[in-house]
Amino acid sequence: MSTTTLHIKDMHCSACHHKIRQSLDALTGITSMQFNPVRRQVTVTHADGVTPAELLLQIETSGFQPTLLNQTGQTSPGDRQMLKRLGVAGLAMMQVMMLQIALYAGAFQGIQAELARLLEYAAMIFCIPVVSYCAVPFFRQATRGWPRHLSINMDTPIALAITIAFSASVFNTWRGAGDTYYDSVAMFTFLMLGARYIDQRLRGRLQLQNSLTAALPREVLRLQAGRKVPVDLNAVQAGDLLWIDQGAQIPTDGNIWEQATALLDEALLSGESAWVERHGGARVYAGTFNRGSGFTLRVTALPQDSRLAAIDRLADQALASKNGLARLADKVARVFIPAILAMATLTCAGWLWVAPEQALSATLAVLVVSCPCALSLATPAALTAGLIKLRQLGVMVKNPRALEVDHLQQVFIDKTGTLTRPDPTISNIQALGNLTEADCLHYAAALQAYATHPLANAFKHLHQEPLPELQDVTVHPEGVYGRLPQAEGGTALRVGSADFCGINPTADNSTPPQTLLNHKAVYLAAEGQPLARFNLHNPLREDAEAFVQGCRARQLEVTIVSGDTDSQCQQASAQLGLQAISRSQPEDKTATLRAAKVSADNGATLYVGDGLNDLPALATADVSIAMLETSDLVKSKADVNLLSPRLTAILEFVDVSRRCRQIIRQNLFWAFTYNLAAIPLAAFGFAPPWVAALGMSSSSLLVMLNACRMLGTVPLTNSPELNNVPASGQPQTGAG
Amino acid sequence: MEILLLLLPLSAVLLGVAAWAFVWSVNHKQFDDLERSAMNIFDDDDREDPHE
Repeated sequence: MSTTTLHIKDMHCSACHHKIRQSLDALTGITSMQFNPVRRQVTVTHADGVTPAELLLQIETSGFQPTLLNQTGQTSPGDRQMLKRLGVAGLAMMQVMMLQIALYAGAFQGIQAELARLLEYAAMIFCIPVVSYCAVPFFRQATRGWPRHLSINMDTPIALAITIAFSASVFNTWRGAGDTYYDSVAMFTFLMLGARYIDQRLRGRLQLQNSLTAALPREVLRLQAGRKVPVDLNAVQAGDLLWIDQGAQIPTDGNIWEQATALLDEALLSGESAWVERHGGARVYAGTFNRGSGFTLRVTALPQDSRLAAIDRLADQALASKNGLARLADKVARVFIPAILAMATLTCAGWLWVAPEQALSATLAVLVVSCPCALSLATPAALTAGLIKLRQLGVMVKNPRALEVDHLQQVFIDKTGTLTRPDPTISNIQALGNLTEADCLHYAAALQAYATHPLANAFKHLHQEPLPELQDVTVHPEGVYGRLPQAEGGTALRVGSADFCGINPTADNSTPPQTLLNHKAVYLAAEGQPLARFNLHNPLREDAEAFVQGCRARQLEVTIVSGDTDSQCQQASAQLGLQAISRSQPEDKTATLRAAKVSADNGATLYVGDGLNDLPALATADVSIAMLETSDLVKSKADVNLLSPRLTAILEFVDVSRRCRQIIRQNLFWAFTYNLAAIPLAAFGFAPPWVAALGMSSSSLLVMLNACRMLGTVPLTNSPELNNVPASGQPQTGAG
Repeated sequence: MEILLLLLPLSAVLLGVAAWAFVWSVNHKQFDDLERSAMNIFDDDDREDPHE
């Protein structure tokens, strides 16, 4: 019996569930199916004989597009293991605390010695599973690479504190004198596990391990002796001739064979949303889409050597170097832990020389009082609170390190789909013939319902209305042809570029000439007679201006980096009063970010993008943010994902991360001050271990409470106009 | 206070049962998907389901 989890991106409602269920029912060996509508996943339990490929095929035949999820998309066994440890620690902690309360009360009111020992032994027994089972991950991390080389990391102080506190307590219980710290051990383990568990779950979400090249088609059509033979992509050699169908994705780099002409969608590589025409011999790249008629491609590079693969590697490298940064807490631990150990040894030696009977008590007091609980909690507690706060605001932080980035100075933002809305809209309609504008729109929408061109999305909102049933519809790369039903006159209509409609755009002198290819006018014509011209544009998002103003208020410099042409960029930059860098290829964007970092005195950079062509830039920037309307791949490579279409959510992220760093600084300051003040007291025997334990617990508690303050502060974007964004796009917090 | 000699082992047994129950429920994926059940109400599929 095994389970497979599939992600089905076009599964929207219970009717879809029903359809998928029916299609899978046809397979033998399926035991159960569980649908998760929020994550659009189905988990299938099936016999071992059923392969994931069969499931995929079966769902595909029912008209859906499933993708196989690997472990990271679902609750992993690691998550479950962590949850078990957390639960057991919680249960044991309650028991230990209960016993310890009796012991504390006894310390003040008097307690029979035998009774106290009985309670101590009981607490010890309840504490054993905590140390031997729940705290295992800390020990494992702390002793990683041991004994060959000792690495002092975040878990070293935790493991050390648990070991010392527990072994000292056992020793004291056994000899029947001195204090015990079972409650501290259990509580500390529980709290640390809790923080880890939350962190792990947050990180596991949405992390679809994917790469650009993995999205390429696996099967291609090779021309062999004039026949199209389907072969695996890996079998393709340089020099092979491949047939690229209309609508297909180009699997690898190559040249257009002979005199063919191809209409390509290169948005993946260049970010340019308009399609380009390439002629025989021209170079075409893997990952681009063929929007025109089919053509023959002569392979020049294997898929792993293609430009797309190079971009993929670039992104991965940048990501790896970013994650390689040592965390502050680890750096602190590396300095602090040896210092504590040295101090404890010194105390022990000193007391042995002066008064040997007090040596253990004083040494323990030093170790307990200086236990870097507060220090090790200082950063994670603040980060966790920040993550929760941002989640409430519709911002999902996947890489908590993004919150730690300081000196944010420059914001780089992609234009199409990021600063502007992802779909074009109709800005105005000019009737050129004898039909009214409303009629023209009606007919154009009916035709565009068949089109696949991105500009056709401008008519999408009209598809809900009753549209005429067209006949003889043919879809061309530059437009759609169709005939009205006899009842409505039977006229043949064309919608698309001026060329396609047989219109000379210069003849209509009202507006400058524009074609469908280099933007943004769509024509409607009936048998060569122009009927209407639809002017389209990608409007700025409603809150683009508020976003720019907010950035200015926060001393952030905003620059548009776009793959689009100069004129398109200028329009947006003039409207918002921003600098713009147009015609940026993915590599150019990376270079721009690097240069900005150097010139701005190492001020940090933030990149906001939505396209696959933004990937290297997202990986290079110190903080990367992916918009809501983008692919899983982009989301998986960005540090931060917006869960609402609001740009102003980015400002909220900036505010919360600033607040978060402030809290971290306060926490670290407090933890250091406490340790500096308490260690001398303990070393000279002024603080008995129970005072030390109290000090340690309260300092940890203070650090936690300080972090929780962040959850309460609601109005982050305090200027009212920033909050006037339509609430319709706001997802429910907590869902997904 | 002799009663403690009974109560302490008893609480240990109860703790064991509680821990076992929790571990069992985690192992049986009771905590894997906390969203789905809340969304089931929207599933208007009334037909008898042989799988669930």
